[in-house]
Amino acid sequence: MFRRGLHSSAKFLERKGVWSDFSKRSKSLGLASESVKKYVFEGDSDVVKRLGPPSLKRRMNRVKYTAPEHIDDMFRISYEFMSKRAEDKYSQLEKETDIKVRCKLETEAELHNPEVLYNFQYNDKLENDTRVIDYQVPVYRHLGLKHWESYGRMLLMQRLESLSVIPDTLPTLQPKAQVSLRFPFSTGVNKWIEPGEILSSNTTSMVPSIKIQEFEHGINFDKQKYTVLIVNPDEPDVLNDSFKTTLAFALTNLKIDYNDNVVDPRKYDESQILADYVPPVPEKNVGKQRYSVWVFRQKSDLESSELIDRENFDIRAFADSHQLEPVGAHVWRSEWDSNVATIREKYGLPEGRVFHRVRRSYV
Amino acid sequence: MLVSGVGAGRKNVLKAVQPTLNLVRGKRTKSKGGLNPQAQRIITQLSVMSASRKQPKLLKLSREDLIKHDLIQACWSQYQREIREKRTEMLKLQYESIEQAMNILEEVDPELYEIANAEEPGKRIPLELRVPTQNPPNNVWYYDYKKKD
Amino acid sequence: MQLVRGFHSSARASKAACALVKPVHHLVKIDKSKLSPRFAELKFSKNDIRSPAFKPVATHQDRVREHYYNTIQSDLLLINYSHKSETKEGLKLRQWDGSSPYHINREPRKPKGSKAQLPDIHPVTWKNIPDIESVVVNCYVRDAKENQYLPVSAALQLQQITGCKPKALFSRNDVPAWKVRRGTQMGAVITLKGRPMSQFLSTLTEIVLPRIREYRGISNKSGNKFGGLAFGMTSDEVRFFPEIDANQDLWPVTFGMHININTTAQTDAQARTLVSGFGFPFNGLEKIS
Repeated sequence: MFRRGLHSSAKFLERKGVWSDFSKRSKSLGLASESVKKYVFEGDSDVVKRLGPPSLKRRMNRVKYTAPEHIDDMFRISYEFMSKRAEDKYSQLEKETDIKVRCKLETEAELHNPEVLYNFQYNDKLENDTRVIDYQVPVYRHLGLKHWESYGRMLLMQRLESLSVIPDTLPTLQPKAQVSLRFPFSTGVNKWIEPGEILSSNTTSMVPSIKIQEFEHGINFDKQKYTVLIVNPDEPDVLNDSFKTTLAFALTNLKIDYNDNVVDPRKYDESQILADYVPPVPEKNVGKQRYSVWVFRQKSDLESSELIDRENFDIRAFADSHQLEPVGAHVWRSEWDSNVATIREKYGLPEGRVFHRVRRSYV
Repeated sequence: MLVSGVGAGRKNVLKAVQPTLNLVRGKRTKSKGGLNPQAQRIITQLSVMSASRKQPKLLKLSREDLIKHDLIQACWSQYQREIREKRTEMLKLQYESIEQAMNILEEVDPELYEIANAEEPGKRIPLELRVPTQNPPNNVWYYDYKKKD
Repeated sequence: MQLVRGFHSSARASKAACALVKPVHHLVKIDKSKLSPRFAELKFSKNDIRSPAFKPVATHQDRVREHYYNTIQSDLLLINYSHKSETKEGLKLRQWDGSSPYHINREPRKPKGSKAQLPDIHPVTWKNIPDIESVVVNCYVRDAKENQYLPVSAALQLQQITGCKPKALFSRNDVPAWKVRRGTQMGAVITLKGRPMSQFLSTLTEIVLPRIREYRGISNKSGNKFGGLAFGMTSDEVRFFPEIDANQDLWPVTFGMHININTTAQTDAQARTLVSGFGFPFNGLEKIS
């Protein structure tokens, strides 16, 4: 076998080129951990070899581990090759003025940067630390979008479809922003809710925080505002022997950006609340109720002077009349449990009805 | 050896009292598995073809090495892409220059053009053109080669 | 058809009892296998090193392919060049003239002189230079109807020669005249692409074919009209493959096989010119269509 001869003086990768220059580039494009950086770029030095890969936590595993042969030599050649290509992209970038093209070039320049890939693959993408994953940087937005498309978006659409949230609330959805939902820790469920999950009435008793992650390039967040609606299309309408949609929560004129985008009570004030949060309190024997969260991009500021009929809410008419563009959605399900009475009492709601197989007159 | 006279004596006594169990495996009287040699041969042939023999061991890489591997892979495909693009570019240039030359020839000499543009049925690349090898023979090229009739 | 969901308790019972394909209300493509929480490592693509199905491909130099790119490709562009040529349209289905009311929705007529439509033949440019696509080696054992062990040996022979996994061939119909029953394993087939194909071609042209006595070459009459060539090898000729030649004792029986060379050439003449570049001799009068 032939092996490419290497200068013995160039033992370690002298990191030249764009990928090691942080004067103009964001700090988040580099590896934060010194030990990982050392292992990646100086993998064939004896000290690093003896210590083993720092990502392995147990010492025994580190000692046992052997890296593939010549991976560092190949890595060095590849790194030089690819950072040259990145340099070309950056030089093209200097002449470009169109924001979309700029973002595309910037993404292409950083897409194969091993530091970026390491940061994105092995860190929390949802609760991102901006020192590591900064969605302000186009390449992280690109990677985030790809990651969302590979699982989260498909799961959301499958749940919306199989639970008939589309077309029962809005006719369809072209998902553009990732919407994630979680309830305050004090209710006992400390995690981001998966779309379609059945939650107890205790869990949902307090206002949820909603994360709206935008991936599109070139959004002007000074002007762009968002509306959030939570509706329940499963409220029984006994008079008509059917169901009606009620509004559980409505926020408007919300301001977010790529990184600071969790909508919780600290993020909005009284003027932005169209309708206060009414927690899900399903009545006994009505079955599971779908609480669908809809996130809209606004064309302009929304005036909240008019009265909203919360009991007979028409989400389609509302979205049409205010020129709202649905960009994201989420859904959870609630059903009657023994705690509903407490929640009703806490929020001052009337005592719920109980439905039976043989219908009695309520009206 | 620790076998003393006493031990050996006891052994003899035991032998006399109990029948010994013969644990030595003797020669097989039947063929293996009771199959005829032809069937056995087919089983061997099937096992040669079985998938388990072709499954390479799964590489377990640490996170850092995986990232390195990804970069190497990306670099390789980029390199291949560049070669491919260059090749198509060269072919395109070749095509364009053929076209240009033929255009000129058509104007300059229509007779020669007819000959140049004639169809060549049964055109073959000569057998003497070989796929190059890494170790060529001592006599690299037959300079005074003449085709046999 | 019920349009409004009823809240009454018997609403469920009044549902139609037939299965309906539900309409989809969005344009997002859903890959169900990716949504399942099971078998995480099977979700990686096949060329990902973490996937159990990963198979390294570019492990060695491919000199046949390099020969094609360095030498043959540009020659073929020149050989097949025809100035100011235009696309020759193949035979197409004929529409009815509409003189009868029965012509409406009637199947179009078959093309004149052909049972099926024929493809157009485009002039060769830098974009469509003929290339070898794949080589299919198949081995049909006639005696397999009596001895079911033979197709296994035939498959192993293919595997030994090509280094790839063969697929078993089964007879599709009952043929009483040949005493063949449907579903009997009759042989094996293998489709070679990429490096195994190059390897096979070079073994064939450099080792096997030169050793065959009085070998004439591939017949010039061979071809399927669309750029596919085929030729056969007898069971004795197969013995010249080095893998079989090296241990003759293990191969008391060898099997003849058919070799199909599939190319992207549009006519057989183009395909023959291409294949001759890899060192295959040709024999007989050129068929000019």
